[in-house]
Amino acid sequence: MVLFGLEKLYDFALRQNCNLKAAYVQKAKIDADVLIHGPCEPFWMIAPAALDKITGMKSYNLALSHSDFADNYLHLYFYLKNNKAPKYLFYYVTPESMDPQYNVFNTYHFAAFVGDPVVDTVLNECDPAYYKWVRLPFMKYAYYSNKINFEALQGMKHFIAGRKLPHFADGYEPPFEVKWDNHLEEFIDLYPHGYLFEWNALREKYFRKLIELAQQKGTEVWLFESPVLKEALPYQPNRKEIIRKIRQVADDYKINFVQFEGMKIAESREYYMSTLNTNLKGSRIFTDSLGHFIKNLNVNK
Amino acid sequence: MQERLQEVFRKVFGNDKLVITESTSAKDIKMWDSLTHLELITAVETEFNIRFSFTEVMEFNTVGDMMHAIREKI
Amino acid sequence: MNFNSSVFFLFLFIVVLVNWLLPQRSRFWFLAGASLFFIGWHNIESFFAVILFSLFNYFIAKRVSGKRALYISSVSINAAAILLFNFFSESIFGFIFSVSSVSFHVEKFIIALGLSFYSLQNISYLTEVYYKRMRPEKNIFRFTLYNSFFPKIISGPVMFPKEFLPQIDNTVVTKEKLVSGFQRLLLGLLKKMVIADRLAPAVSSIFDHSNEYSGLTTLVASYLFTIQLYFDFSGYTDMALGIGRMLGYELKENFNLPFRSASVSDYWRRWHISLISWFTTYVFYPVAYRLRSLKKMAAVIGLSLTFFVSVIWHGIGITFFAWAICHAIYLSIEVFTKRYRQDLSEKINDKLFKCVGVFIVFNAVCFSNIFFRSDSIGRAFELIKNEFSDFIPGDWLRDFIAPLAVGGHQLDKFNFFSTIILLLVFLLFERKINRISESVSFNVKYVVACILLIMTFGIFDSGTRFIYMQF
Repeated sequence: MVLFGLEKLYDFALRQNCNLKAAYVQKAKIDADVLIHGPCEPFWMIAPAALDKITGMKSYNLALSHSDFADNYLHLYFYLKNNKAPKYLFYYVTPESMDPQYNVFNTYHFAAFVGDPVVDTVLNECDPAYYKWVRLPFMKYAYYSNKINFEALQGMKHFIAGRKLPHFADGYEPPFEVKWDNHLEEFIDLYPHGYLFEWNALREKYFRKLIELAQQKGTEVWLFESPVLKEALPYQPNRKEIIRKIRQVADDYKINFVQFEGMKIAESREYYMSTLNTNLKGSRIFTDSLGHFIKNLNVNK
Repeated sequence: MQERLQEVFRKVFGNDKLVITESTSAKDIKMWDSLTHLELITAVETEFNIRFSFTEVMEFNTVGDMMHAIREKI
Repeated sequence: MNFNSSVFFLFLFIVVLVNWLLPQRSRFWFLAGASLFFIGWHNIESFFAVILFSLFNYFIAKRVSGKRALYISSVSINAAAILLFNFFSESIFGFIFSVSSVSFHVEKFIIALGLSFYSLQNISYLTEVYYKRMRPEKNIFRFTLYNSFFPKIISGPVMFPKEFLPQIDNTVVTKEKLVSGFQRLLLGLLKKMVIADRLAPAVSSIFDHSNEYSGLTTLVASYLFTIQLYFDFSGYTDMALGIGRMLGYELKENFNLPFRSASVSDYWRRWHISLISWFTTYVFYPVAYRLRSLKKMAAVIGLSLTFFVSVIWHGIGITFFAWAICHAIYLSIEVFTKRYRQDLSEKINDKLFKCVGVFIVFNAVCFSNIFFRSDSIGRAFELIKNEFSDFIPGDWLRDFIAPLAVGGHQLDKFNFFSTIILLLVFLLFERKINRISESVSFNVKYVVACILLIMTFGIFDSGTRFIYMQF
């Protein structure tokens, strides 16, 4: 009984949390023209404010750090439930996205939405150990309580304060002020002869489902990759091969995969905090390029 | 005999006011633990000029047990 | 099947229910069978190992009484089993002194579940029979149950034969026992899931990863490790005792508020009590008895040897040696300063003396545990060096909170500080909480509070295995 009441309280609190993207996009009318989506790289890199100045359109950053395709798929599903379909979806994808060693399905983002059939299907497939417990009272929150408690508390705070906007209103979070995070050095220590990316079937499945979902709503999907720090490339011998496979998926849906190759920032650590993540300086330059790309695309139509 | 034994206890545990009875056990004397137990045994053996067997030493729970064993030997 | 897994709770429910319904005389058959099933579930090697050793010791014991050669050789075989087990669990082909890993590597391969625990019990059994202090057990199933009783197979408590065997024919399962057993089990789950597992990431962040944290950060991490070890192991013990009681058995207590010890020798009477009493009975006393004419030196030699044996038992490695040397030194100092400390305590305020003692002992224990936890001796010295340089962090968030909370977000801080508050509250009211968990009447408030805390603050995913399991 007590647990059942507690579960209802958490249900309510989490839905009130503006900083929980999954809850926020189901409540707020965002109705962006351009939707940016993907894992941490676009999340910390692409500032809608800067983009909008160039394109003259409204954009929103739906990306989240540490998220895989299934995670992104559910966020897109939530977004489309409540908002008009965007004109363009710019989806960030790299060989890392296909490898289960990179990013994860963050089950706890969705705990408050268990019961929605789409959510249930994905949870059952991506985190079965969790899903088998969710029918017991409160277990859907207990299982990842370390992530949930804080968000529920924050939700209650937002409810009491009557807050409507998240801390980062357009979904973009500026990168930490880290100069260089040493991940590349650790990577080289671990794999002195390079690391071969893996192609995971479940990842591919949700990659496709995500594209299909956007296309069903009439959104034009563009896949993109920001420049990779050049000095890391020798340690990734099959990067090109995986890129080719990603292109094949894009071809299946008749969509483009833009890579922004040849940008100067790829040459120097000055613009990066790790192999893929640009720092604030690099992010500004890339956002500018992406902005002009979208502007040209829209004008040419 | 109890008085002689009491003197030994006082010397080993460094407490001049210590009073023992037959039911006194390790629980009653703060310093009586496995580390001092054998020191006490040695002192008792010297005082009464006897030797305890290992099994006897292991089975001393109270002062009474010890006095019983001493009586058997002298 | 770990104690906090869902399969285990199903198993436990069935075993408790059937055991309760069965008549007293047939319970031991059932419990021996259930225990063997539990061990076989872990792996088949463990199953055969426990049967093999039970048979071996059962038959040897029938003949061993008074036969010196047979006694020595059979004890050696049991001891060799522990040695081999430790050697092979270090690394299958590893060099015996290869820098040890008592590590907390979750998936470490355990060849024979509980072997180092039941071998100690077997050595004790053979010794008691050899010296004619008890008669050998007549029933092979009873004896197998002594070795394999599933609540204590994983990590003890180590029970002397006289403490366990007589209980087999006297099990009474009453409602009171079921209630207090269940409450004790909940206490263990709470300690394990709400405190120990929540501390694990903070400890691992300092001990396993970066090596550039300031002194205070390292010091706090070493405190947290000792606390984690305590909550993990005493939580496990609470569960073992609770389960035992629900089946009608009283297992031996392993902990008695160790962080309140005012001397290291006091600490060793309150920490892992069942193991220490085994070592005291079968290593310390025999050695110290023979050397007793040396007076205080007898104690020093005896305890040094005891810790040496303890190292071999824990899993031979340089880091363990360093840990044991620390404690041998601490205890030797106490042996020689005993009278001096006694005099001092009479001169100054009793409370103050006790507080200072508790503080010194806790720090000394935490210091030695740096060796216990580190994966190499070099790493341990590095941590100790860090502890004594740049004591105050330069940037509190970056150098202190972020590494301990494993992240600098609000969420991480919230998690870290809630853990600290939980553990402080628990340690402060520990005596009271223990008393409630022991009560024979069903305490609704206590049970609801435990379940709520476990559900809201417990770690369910990636629950690291019980730290003591690989010994």
